[in-house]
Amino acid sequence: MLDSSRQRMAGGQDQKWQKDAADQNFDYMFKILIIGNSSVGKTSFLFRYADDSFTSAFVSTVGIDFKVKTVFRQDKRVKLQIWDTAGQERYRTITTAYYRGAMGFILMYDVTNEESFNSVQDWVTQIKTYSWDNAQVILVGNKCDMEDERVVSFERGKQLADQLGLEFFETSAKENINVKSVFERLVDIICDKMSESLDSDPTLVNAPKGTRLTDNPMPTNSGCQC
Amino acid sequence: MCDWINSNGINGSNANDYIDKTSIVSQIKPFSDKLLNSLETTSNGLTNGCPKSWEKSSVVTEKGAKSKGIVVSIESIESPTIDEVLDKVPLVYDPITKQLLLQRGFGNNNGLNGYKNGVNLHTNGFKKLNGVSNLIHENSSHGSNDKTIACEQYSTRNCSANNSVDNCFDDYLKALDERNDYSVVDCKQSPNKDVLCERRTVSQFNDNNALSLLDSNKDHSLEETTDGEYNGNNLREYNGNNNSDDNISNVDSSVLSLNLDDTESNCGSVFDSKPKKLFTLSLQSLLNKVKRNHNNNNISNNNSSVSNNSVNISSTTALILETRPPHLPAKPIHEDKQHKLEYEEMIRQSRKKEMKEMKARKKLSEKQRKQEQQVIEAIKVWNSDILPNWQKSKNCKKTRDQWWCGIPSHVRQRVWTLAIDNELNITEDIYRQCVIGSKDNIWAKHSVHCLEDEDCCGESAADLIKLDVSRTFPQLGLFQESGPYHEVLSELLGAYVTYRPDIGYAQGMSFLAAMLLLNMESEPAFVCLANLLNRQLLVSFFRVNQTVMNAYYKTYEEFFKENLPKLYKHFNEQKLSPDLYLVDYIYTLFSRSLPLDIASRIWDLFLRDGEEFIFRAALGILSMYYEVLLNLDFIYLAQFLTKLPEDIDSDKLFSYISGIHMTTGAEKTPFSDVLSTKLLENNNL
Repeated sequence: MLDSSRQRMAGGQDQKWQKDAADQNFDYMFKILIIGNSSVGKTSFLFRYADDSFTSAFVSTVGIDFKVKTVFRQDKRVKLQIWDTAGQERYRTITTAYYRGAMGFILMYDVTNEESFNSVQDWVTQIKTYSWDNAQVILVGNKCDMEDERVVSFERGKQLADQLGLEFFETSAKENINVKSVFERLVDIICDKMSESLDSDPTLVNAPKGTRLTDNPMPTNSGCQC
Repeated sequence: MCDWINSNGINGSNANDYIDKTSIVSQIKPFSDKLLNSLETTSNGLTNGCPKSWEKSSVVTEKGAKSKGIVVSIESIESPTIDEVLDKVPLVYDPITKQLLLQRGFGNNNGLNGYKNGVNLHTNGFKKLNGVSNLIHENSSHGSNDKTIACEQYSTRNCSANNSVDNCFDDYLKALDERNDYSVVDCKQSPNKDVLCERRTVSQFNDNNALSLLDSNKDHSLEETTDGEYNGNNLREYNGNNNSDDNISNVDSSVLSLNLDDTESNCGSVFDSKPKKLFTLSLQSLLNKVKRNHNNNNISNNNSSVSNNSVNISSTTALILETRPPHLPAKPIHEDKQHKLEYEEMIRQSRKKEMKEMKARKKLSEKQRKQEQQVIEAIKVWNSDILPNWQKSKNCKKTRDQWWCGIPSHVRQRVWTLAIDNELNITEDIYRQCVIGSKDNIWAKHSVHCLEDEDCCGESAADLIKLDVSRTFPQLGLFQESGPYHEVLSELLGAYVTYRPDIGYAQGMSFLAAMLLLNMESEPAFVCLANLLNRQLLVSFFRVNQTVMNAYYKTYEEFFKENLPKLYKHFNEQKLSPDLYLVDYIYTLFSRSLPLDIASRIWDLFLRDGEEFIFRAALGILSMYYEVLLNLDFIYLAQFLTKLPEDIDSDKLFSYISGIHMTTGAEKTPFSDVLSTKLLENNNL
């Protein structure tokens, strides 16, 4: 009985998801994490990027949410695995476990929330502790549309980013400011770093592209996952 | 070459027969064909003299009516205009009856050429007539001596070639417009004569736009007659209404046609002989109809042409059925027909759809009623059988079966409270103290760091709660800052943090507390929350006790492998560890991942079966989407499982959950035993 019901289910649902599953053609796959304090707008930022939508009806993230997006950069198809993590400090022991294999981080603070800006240093330490050395990080000051409530100036953000040696953007998921640029820039610097690594470390050349660097090696162009 | 005025009369079949549009069209069709023929023949016959054509034209008459045709010859005019043609019509204006009369003797076999003194029926003639107010009234009131017959059609054809007809009407319309009234132009023969000529134009004006009172029956006859050639842009049709009532149907289809072949102008009018009673009646009806239509038009304030024979048809329908407004090109016949067909089809479809929807609604309401009945039955069972003997009955099979179907929301509070129990012995006093305490400990320190609290260094519980409360079930609008439960939820969570500072606030709790608040008051909700969070599963997760958490994951995997081995293998190949999706399910007990009604039902059974049901439900979801999941890779699996489809069917999901058995191996080891083993293993590591 169970099997027959499964068959029926497959008929209805399969097609809907087949399309997504079929998107197996990519040159690289990057695992990217969005981190930062609770309620700085990580999920909104991701939704704006992946679905080009924004809702003020936020739901807090418990655990991790996932999004996938394929982009074209430098003639390469790059499949982005984006992990959207819960921000509460309590859960850092859970989320830091997922830092392994991440090639890029979007470290986000809220320009209207001093506390979230003050935590940036801690987050950088976390990245250094738990992730791969070559992981690229972009510092993002989100909610830049809320000028009236701003407490962290652009200059302070820029200064901190320079200090930490990070790229810096101010963004607004609501007004769709710089959201795409952040992801594109991150992909670019990961690509740059990767070719650097390949140049300097010939042992990496034989490894399948991209997969050497991730904790979840994905078969590239290998088709069926079944 | 030849210009004609041809008059024919047709008797309607039965005065009492209601004639609908289609039947009239079908009546008119053969008639108008004949008319065309007769016009042709009469045109041929003209050269041979009028009497012959007169005889031929009478062929047109159907049912042997005594009507007679009149042929007007205007051979002498080289390139006749309508004015000139109309000049030839031997009409006289009778100042006493205020009517246009066909000159005495006309229509006899006297020929036409002798009639030179006819009243001009062109612009000026009309204007003169316009001065006569309420001709209809006069006609219907004092026309009793006249052998008149109602109404006919006045049409123009191919007016683009010769605009004189149109100009004539334009002026006429303008004049009528100025009067802002209707007018009936009535031309008829003297009372003693058999042949009466009556030309009537009824127009209604509104906002400087001519509102022709179109008789669609006449439209048809016109279209048939003119063979679709007329250029609608300059064409206006004026039809007296003569078949909207039973009496009128007798005299419809009387057509007079003015054929101006050479000038490519065609003007129709009617000559007929009828008993005067009919005429009076029809005029009366016409008048009534005109008034009615006028009122209708005033109401709808519509500038388009309006039918005055819209028999029992609502105004909207009538408008749709009509031809286009006068300022737009008229539709060709085939288009008109097609539109009518399309319209009928639309009506049919919408009726069909309505019927279908009605059936669906009925079915739905039937289903709802059935469900309501079931819920009422269930409430009865819960209230009378189960709840009074809770300790005794809570574990019996009957109760468990009833429980599986979900607890009716009416009794949910009682069942949840009893099922969660109060091991912690939290009293109302304790709750109140916690609420008061939270005001000092949590909310007062709102912006101050509580550095002593190791659980929230850098983050104050108050900040976290504040941020999370409005992000809890945002779709309900209850917990948002302006929502009615915003303060209640904040207070409840603050009280909990005061009660258990060792656990404090952790994301996910707001969902649990909100679920409880949706079903009960804040005091019992607090008792339930505190006791729930005291259970092993939740306490270890909210304290992020990794060892215990891993033991739970491993136990879950045992049952995953047991129930869905193929999918388990696939998940392993994709390196999708259960923690990636289970974290969300466990922290919020599915309330964030599933629609509220399904989540509530899962809570019901979580409270019946304990923590193992959370893992069973997770496996139920995997089982439900088995085929789908088998085809997804790591990231899509993760995406799917952390954002489940919103249209999950509750009953279906629960049938899949029931298919998951929570014992493993040949020994049928239950969940708790497997968990203990895993916990031991993990502790030893």
